[in-house]
Amino acid sequence: MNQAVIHLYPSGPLLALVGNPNCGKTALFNLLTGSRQKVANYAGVTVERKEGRATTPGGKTLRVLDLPGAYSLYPRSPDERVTCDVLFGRAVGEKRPDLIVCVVDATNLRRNLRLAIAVKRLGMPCVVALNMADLAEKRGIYIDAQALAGELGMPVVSTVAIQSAGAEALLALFDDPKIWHGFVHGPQRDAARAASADGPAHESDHVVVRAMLQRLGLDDIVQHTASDRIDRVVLHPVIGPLLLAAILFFVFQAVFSWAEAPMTLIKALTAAVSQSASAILPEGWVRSLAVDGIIAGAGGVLVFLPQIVILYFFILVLEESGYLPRAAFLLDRLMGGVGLSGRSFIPLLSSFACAIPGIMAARTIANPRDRLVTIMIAPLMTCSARLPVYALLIGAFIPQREVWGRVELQGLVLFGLYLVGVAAALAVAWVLKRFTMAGRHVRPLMMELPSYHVPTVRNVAIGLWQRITNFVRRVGGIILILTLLLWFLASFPAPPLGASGAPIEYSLAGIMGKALAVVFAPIGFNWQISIALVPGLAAREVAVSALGTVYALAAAGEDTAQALAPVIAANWSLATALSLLAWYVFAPQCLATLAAVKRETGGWKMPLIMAAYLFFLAYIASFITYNLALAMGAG
Amino acid sequence: MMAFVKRRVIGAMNEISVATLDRAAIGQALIVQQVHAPESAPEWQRWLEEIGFVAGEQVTLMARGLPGGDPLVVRVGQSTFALRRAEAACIEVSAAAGHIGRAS
Repeated sequence: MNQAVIHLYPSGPLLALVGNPNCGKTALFNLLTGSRQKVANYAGVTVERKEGRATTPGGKTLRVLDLPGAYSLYPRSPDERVTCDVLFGRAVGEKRPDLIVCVVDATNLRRNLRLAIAVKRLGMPCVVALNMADLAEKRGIYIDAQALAGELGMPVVSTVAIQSAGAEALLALFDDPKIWHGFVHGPQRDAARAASADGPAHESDHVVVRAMLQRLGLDDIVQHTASDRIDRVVLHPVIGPLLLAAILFFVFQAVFSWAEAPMTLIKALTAAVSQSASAILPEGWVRSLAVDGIIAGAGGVLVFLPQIVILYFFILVLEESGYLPRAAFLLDRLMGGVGLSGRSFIPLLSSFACAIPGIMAARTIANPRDRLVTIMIAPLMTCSARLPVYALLIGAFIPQREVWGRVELQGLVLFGLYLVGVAAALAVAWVLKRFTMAGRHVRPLMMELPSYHVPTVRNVAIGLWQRITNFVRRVGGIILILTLLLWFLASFPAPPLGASGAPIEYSLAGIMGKALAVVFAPIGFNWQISIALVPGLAAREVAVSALGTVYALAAAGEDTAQALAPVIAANWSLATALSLLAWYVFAPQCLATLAAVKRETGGWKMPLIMAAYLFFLAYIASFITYNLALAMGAG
Repeated sequence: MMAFVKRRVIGAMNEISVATLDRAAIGQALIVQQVHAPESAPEWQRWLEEIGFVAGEQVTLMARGLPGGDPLVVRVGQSTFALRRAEAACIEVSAAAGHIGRAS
């Protein structure tokens, strides 16, 4: 017996859904499995793996795998490679499926049937699900499933993935034991057999499909006029970009304004829970761990959620409707200048709220290189956690007056900080395009613009639920651990008896901060700032309350910033404040982001590179700012 | 890459009205003649064929992006794809017999 590797798989026959992108495969998967889905990654790659359970009318329980969409069995992206590896039985840790369901878009048989023929050639039992059969009939395409089954030599079942009863015939088919043993349906046509001969397979498959459709009277091209009419507006050279700008503005606005109330509520709840915990627990390190560590950490995770839910809701609706690839089309030229494609735009825009959902949204980018570059520059977009720090420093150091007529100087500085972030992101992408091998290599666009669909509530709800649970499970745990670690650093060892300074000064974080002060002296940071930067690694805005702790202010929460402004205005020079602002534009001052990058790139290499390059940029920017300010007399 | 495209067009001079898809007029009904790939990206040929750009297929240029007329929206068979100009330049087309103009 071969003793090499034995994989233990869950019981039950395994069914795999295969199909072209945009054939409604995931909608059919949602219909078959309902909410009984598990989302994870395939071994060794960050390609989403979706498995669910379905029950046939005969009471048989099946494992259903939703393979990534593919145009052919010659992979061109990591997603398509997974599909091929699973079908060929080469994927690590994956069982070769017992039955393949080729999901075919009934409105586009010409392209979709080619993949079905190629899959059938693999010799595994397979059936064809004629998806979106209702849409095809609406457009006057009447398909005789029996005749098509005869041509293909595979059972064919019509499905309607947006109706709750739309997959019953397909489920009933799985009760037939013959299906699982490579049952060949009806007489096999010569043409289909000829396709199994070697040669330029895709081309002969095309000829086979064309001949097949001719015999079935389905070779007329039926244009989708409704979609075309929408496209005439959406892709219009003038109206299109204006519409896109309006949609993006609305989404951005919604992420900030709708999330405000739930975020305030979560903060208030966290405060209430820590207050009651403080009342119950005795004074000491246990209380500190519970209140400042665990409760503050959990609150720090949950406070991100409202923005993430709202953002993902819009991305899902745009994706389901078919608008997302159009947006990528409209933005392609703009992003192409720095070596990215239009697909990078929405993840980068999301990063203005928080880099973490932005980095996770980069999954919509098919090209691995573009996806990586997008992830790497996402933290340069000014996230909302920087705002409290900016507000404190600008309020304390930038005079409240108007320049050039009516422009507020404080607002101008804030806008400038956003602008510097965007410019830096574009510059980094450009440098990567110009000076790396992969950057100079021209990557094709070749992006399908699917017909428009009205998004279904079920698909949006399932997608949203999966992303939320993913965030809490994958990133939430890491954020919580990091918060606990930073709490430990800021609390131990306890100050000696009779100590006069703030307790944090004597802790590990304080010792680290004082050591860092040597490093930061050339950019004008004093030891108080250096200490505050350490707990600020949990989340950028924590630096504000940490400064309050270092300066031993009694005020807590919202009042910290108000009490802090006059203190720092008196203690710091303008050059130091400007240098700290420059630092916050670039610095890798958020461990949660690095954790998300580790999660999404599958290793520590990329987050370490990111931390190093951002630190380098931050130091250079602060050094120049500080010394320029000193030279101009702001010392 | 431009030199390569030119050579192919000259090579096809004996066939009348052969042009590449990137230069087509919007809305004109065309037929794919042949797909070739630039030397720097030989895999494009297979990729373009897989998404439906095979000889004999009906193809129409639907729209051009702004600014600079790049990328393009192309209808091939029953699918719609966004292609950059360099990709569309790999596709040789000829006018479809009979009907010229937007079919809607």
